[in-house]
Amino acid sequence: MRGGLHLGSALATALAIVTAALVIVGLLSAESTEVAAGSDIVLQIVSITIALAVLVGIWNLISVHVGRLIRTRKGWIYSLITLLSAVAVTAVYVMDETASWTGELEGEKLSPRVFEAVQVSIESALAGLIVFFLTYAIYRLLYKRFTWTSILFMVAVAIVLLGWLPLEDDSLVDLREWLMTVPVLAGSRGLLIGIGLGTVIVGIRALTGYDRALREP
Amino acid sequence: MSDNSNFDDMPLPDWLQGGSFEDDEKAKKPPPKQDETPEVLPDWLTADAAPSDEPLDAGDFTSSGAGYGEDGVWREEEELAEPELELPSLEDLTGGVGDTKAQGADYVPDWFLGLEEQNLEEAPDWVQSTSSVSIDDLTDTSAFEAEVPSFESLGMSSQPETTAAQDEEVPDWFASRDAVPDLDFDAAVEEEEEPDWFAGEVEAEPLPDLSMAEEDVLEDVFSDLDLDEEEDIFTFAESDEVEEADAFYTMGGVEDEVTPVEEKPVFQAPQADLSWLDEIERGSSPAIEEDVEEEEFALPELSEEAELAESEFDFLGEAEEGELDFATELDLEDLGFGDEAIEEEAEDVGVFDFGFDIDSKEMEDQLDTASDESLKVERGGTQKLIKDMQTSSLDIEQLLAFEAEQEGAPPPEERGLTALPHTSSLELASEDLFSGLDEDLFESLDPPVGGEGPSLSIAGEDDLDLFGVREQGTPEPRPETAAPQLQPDWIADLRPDVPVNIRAGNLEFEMEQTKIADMPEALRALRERSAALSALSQAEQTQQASPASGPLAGIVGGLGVTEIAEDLESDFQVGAALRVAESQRRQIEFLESALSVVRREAAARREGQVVIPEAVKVRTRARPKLDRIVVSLILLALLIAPFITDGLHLDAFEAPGSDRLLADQRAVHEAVDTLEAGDYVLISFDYGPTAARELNPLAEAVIRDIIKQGGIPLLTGISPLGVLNSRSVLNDLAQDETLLTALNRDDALQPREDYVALNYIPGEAVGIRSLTRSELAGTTLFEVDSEGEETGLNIGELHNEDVAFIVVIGETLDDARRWAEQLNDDDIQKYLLTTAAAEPLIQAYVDDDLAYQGYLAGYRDTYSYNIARNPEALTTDPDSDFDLPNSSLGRWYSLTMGILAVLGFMVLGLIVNLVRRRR
Repeated sequence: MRGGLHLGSALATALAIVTAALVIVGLLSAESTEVAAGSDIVLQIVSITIALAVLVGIWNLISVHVGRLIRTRKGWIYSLITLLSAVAVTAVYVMDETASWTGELEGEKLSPRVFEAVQVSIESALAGLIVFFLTYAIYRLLYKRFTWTSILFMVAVAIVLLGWLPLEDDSLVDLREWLMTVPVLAGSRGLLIGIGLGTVIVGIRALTGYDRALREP
Repeated sequence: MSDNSNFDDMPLPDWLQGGSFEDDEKAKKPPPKQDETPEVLPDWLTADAAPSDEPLDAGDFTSSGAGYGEDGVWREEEELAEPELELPSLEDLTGGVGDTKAQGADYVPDWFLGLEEQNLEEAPDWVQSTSSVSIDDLTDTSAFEAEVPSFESLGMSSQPETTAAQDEEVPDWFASRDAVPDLDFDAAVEEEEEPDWFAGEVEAEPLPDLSMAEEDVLEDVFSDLDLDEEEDIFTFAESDEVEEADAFYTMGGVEDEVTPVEEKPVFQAPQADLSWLDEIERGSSPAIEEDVEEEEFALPELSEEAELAESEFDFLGEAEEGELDFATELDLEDLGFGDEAIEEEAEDVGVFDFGFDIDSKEMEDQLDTASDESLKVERGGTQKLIKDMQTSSLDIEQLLAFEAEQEGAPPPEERGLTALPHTSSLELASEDLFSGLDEDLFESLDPPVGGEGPSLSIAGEDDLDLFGVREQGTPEPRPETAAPQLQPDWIADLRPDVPVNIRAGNLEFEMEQTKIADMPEALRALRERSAALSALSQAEQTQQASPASGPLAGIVGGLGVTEIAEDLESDFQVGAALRVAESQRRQIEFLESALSVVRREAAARREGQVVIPEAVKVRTRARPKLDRIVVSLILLALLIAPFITDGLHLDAFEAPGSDRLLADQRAVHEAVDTLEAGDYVLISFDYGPTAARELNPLAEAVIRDIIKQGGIPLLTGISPLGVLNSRSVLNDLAQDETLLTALNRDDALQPREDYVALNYIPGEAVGIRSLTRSELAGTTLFEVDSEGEETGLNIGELHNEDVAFIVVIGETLDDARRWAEQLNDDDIQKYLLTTAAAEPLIQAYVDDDLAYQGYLAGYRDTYSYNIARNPEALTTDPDSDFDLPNSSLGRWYSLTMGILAVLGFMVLGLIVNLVRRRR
């Protein structure tokens, strides 16, 4: 609501300002001071809260898919698979921790194997497709467009890739090293500086109560 | 009967547009039944006048020859305007009111179009003059809202059938009276004393054979008189009105030379008091008004040549339609009834007089001066008859006898004819004229033509049968009469100032009417066009059945709206005669396809089917691109081939040795070399499964080296997935034979002894910062491992003394930045293991004393690191029956082939582009 002041928002803003001020003062203070200790307590609370958020997320995931499965909404089969997977992984983890495996699996830890065999393989395969897309993209780029920028792009890529290879001629390696330490480093630092400025602005907004998350209930 | 075909060519006034004369339709109507009482209409409505071919002015209804002008002054022929009688047909005026014959579905009467919106102030004078009341009163629908009385209640055996001539001339507002009540024929008798209604009652009737004897002429004269007229004329003559017979006779066309009459005929149509309509509806005798507008009875002018001969027969033809109308409009008192002087005079004249005095000399002169030489009159007989008439001693029976004598026909009694009773005028004035008539009289009036039922006309040409003319001559076919009909309700709504109730099904609402003058020009043009369409298609419509349902059920004679619409729908062909662009054609086709769907659904709904919208599944199958397939297949082949054959293990791209490690990479194993047995190395797995295939070998190589150096890796991460990755790596290393061989151990690596698998660090950046600032955070992280077992680590706040260095394994810049910025201990050395993609971005955090002292990136550094630090790891290949190259070399050359392929496609694309540009 515009122009109105909500008590909850005011309290949240005040609490955020006080906490942020406490943390920043504590971080700038010596570790042995009480302010720093208070700041550390606040940071510990944040860490615990974030850890609990994982549990909340797991609970939300299960409840959503159980609801879809009960109501048999569209895609309920995927919800069923998700729930079965969650139950199976949890069961495997419990079996691992309780050393319940018998026979050939006795004493084995199956959780890392399941993770490696299923999740790592799938996600790695998906990531491996990127090379195909990038290769075709650069081919189409030069096939369709031939400008000075595209030439510059092509030369940079060629230098970096060829410089990555252990060629006998070190000229490309040196050239690649120069690219990595001068232009690429400059760009990376500029990117990091921008990130730092953004972080400061967010901090100031939080300290002054201008952050939208604090103003709107 | 007159030929009304000329009406088809007549331009009708605007307020009556939409009608057409339908002689053909009238001819198809069945003849009336004998037992039906003929419908009696006002004379001016039933007059079967033949219009002239000239355009008519509806407002000018003055008669030809002498007659009353619009100002009510009697004028002679020369003074009057050209007689342009325009008598709309009954179809026009009534629109087939009550006609239940089929006329097609969704029929709308043509005359209905816009008529309800007409302002009666624009109506002709003769319409306005018919009432002394205001236009609003004239159009008051309250007069029409009364229920239509049944014919039984009106004293009729059945509903009378109207002749076509009557139908043509009945205005719509009169059509609301579909039944004629009991009429006061006494009043009719009186009003028929008025000769002016004969004025101009001329029809374009074929000329009869006038070469006859004088008595034939007289016979013709009286034969044109309706029996009732005869009663009226001969019975209720007033002494002071006898002279009007001259004018009457003159107007009848007996003489072509009109003698000016100073005294105007007394008889006039009633002044526009429409109360008589209500009286008709109630079945009571109407009041008779004094003021009568003669325009109402004015008839068109005939040519002088045919005037005499035609008028002898035609003007009386009007009588059959006018007499009863007069009867409904005249007041007895106006005609002298109730006046003692008149009654006494009537008694003196005789019980049955002719109603007027005829001067024998004048009559004879008139007859002698007839222009037609073929008119042979036996003056002796005529004089005798006239004298008898003058003495008022001749009654109808005598007249009939005289007629029979002249014709040699049997007396009326033998022919079943019975004249009116011999009674006094007062008696007749006080009772129904027809009460004294024999039923057979009406039967005798029926013409033999067709032999089907009597004519509805009471007087007029049918009267000739009474005198034997029709029996001897060739009978003229009579038009078929219309079937009795009930008027629809909307007739009562024909008032422009009254909202119309429109009902459709269960819905009803009022709609304000728009006067035609206020209508937009486009609507008026549409109305005229509709009228034209109606005129063209009316013949077809008459053959069609009336809609059985809907708001126009039972209504015929209207426009075939549905048919026209269907024709348009079915015959409409887009682009048949138009030139449209291709884009427009596609749009039209799209719209047609959409309309077809709507029509199908509508048709299905009409048939009661449940319309289930079809689920439109748009399958967008991407067209396979050949170049993409070629690129992918070539790249895939180059990536796989080094694992299968060593043919692609090119010497030019030999695997890098330890000497290929740069300073940043060398810093890592140099840090490992500084480890002592039992030193803890904190390794944070901050990458996910997507980078696991790239970073797991790198992490394994570094951990392998650390373990070989006696260090104890403390595996953790900032996310649960990172911890899982660490477990996966350690599980492999813990049982790796080469590593165990290098360690000279037989058993696998043991957790909490050879390595420690910790939990993940919650809070990401906050958690990392807390490691060096909060003892609680450190204690929580290092106290127990992921299995919940105590690690035995005595680490609170993380300091340089607790760990030898920290290895951060991350796949993105954020992973590297997080540890570099948040770990608030400058003395703790950090090394970074990252992907080849993130290598350029992490350069800002390398070679910095506050960040990472060294890094390893991608598989190239992994291979180099293993070559330099873990050569045993590269020699281990799984047992296989196939002679495959070393997997580590195959992996290296696979990457090399991939890089070369990318560069090759770049060059290929560039070449193709250049070729295309040249072409």
